[in-house]
Amino acid sequence: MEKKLKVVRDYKPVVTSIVKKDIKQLGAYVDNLNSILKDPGVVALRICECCIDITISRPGEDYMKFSVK
Amino acid sequence: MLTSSRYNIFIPLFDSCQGASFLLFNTLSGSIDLVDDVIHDTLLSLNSEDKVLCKEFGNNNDKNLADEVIDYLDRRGYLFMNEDEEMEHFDLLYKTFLTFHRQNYPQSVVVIPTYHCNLQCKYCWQRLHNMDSGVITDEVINRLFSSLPEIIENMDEKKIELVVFGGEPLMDYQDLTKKVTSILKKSKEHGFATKIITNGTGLADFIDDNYQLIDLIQVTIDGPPEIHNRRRPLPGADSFDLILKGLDRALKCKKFINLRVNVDFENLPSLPILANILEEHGWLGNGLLDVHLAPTKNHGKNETPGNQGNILQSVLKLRDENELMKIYNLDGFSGYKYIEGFKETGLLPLHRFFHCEAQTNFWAFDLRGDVYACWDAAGIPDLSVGKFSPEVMMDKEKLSIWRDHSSLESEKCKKCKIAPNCGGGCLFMAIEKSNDFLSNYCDPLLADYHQAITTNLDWFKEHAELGDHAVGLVVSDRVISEINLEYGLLDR
Repeated sequence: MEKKLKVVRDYKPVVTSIVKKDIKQLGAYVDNLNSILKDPGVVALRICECCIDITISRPGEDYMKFSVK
Repeated sequence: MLTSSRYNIFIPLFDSCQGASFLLFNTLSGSIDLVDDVIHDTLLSLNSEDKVLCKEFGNNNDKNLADEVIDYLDRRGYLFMNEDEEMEHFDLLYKTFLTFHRQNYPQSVVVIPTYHCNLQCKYCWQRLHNMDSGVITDEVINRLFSSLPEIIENMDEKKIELVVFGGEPLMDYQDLTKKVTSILKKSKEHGFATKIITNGTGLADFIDDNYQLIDLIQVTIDGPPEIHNRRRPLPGADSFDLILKGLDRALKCKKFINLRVNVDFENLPSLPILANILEEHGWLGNGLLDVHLAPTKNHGKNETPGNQGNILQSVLKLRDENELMKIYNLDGFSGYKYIEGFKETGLLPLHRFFHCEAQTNFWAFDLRGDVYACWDAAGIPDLSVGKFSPEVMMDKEKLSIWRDHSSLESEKCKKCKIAPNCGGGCLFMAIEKSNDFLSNYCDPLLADYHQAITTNLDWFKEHAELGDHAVGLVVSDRVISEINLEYGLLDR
């Protein structure tokens, strides 16, 4: 199984889970997230005091942000 | 040696779904997939202490797991080449996302103009620590605003939310009202968003003259009158009645209200009655009032840790039985909130390797000129992390205890399945219970996850079968529904 996995990784280095990204890929991922954050008209990241979650909001529609302590 | 992630969690499906019999959830990668018995057994056996058994399983599964399945389990974060590889990724994610959170969080600036309070709530940690005081002076208020740029790392006024907290900030006590008004006015002059956390008993008298200075008000109410007044007594008066008057006035001023209900087994059965009272006042559905449940914390050295997982179970049961319970937002139960967020977006919250904002960017400033990194610690001078008045003098070592606290600190925590999400638990509770910063006070996040996932099993199965969301479906010989969206539903 281990050999199979090595072969598979060499052959098809597809990454979809962020836990498997290397430092460069993770940097690109975070840059993309930051650009999403700056574009609240299309999608909004809901940020509260204890987590960052993602909310899809319709363009032009405000949503209320409540904090939970 | 090939290893399965130490953060894999299996939850039985009870009824199989196209051959899958377990929901596999990984708290580090945030992946959720439905898998069959063979995958379940294989992943478990890889980490077995019994190496012979492990090897045998490995051999068997070389035959049984298709290449595409191994590939899929690998890139979803359920498999690693070895334990070190997983921990390297853990460390990288931790550093990356801690920085990300610190840069993107709203910046809380909490001001405590007094520790005095007119209520005598039995579960209040400030009461347990005998906190009381006079009122903040003009000099300290001025010093507070001038010192902020020296203390706050990310001084972006658009991100700053100034929160007036206490004690109780809205009381007829010395010249407190004047001072609170002054703090709010100065906040607005600086361009900060403003919030008041109040017990609500003085809200009606305060709001008419000051509503333009406040963006959000948080009030706590614990049930219908007889329950609320017993839990949050105001000597010589009816605190419930005063709070309702305050809510009414604030809502007429079009203020957003965050209504907090501290919930435990004592008041839970009465919450449909409270919901009914709020509904009868016509306050629900107006877009101004959000009512959320927050599990009551068991403060005090002799109190045992809470059973929040059980209370969530009871809350959900009552919600099934009583439609009125649906007015309550359950965001106070983190695990439940994250699974609900997953259902909307296909992603779990981005890795929060911390318990709360004490580990990121929280600051509290009190009337004595002390600075704190934690809500609950404020008022206990030994736990302050510096001073802003008369001069700024920060203690980096003490601040580091809060900011650098993480689940990476102890081997015990690192091995815990919830380590990527809990941040080592509540530091204040750890100190309160054991007087030891490293003793770890575990929160019930894992129990919440279990409860939330179990409650939503049908939803997960339905969407895995449809292949239209972020839940995969994989059996030993093939991947039935593949997840390949990097940003969950945002990719669409």
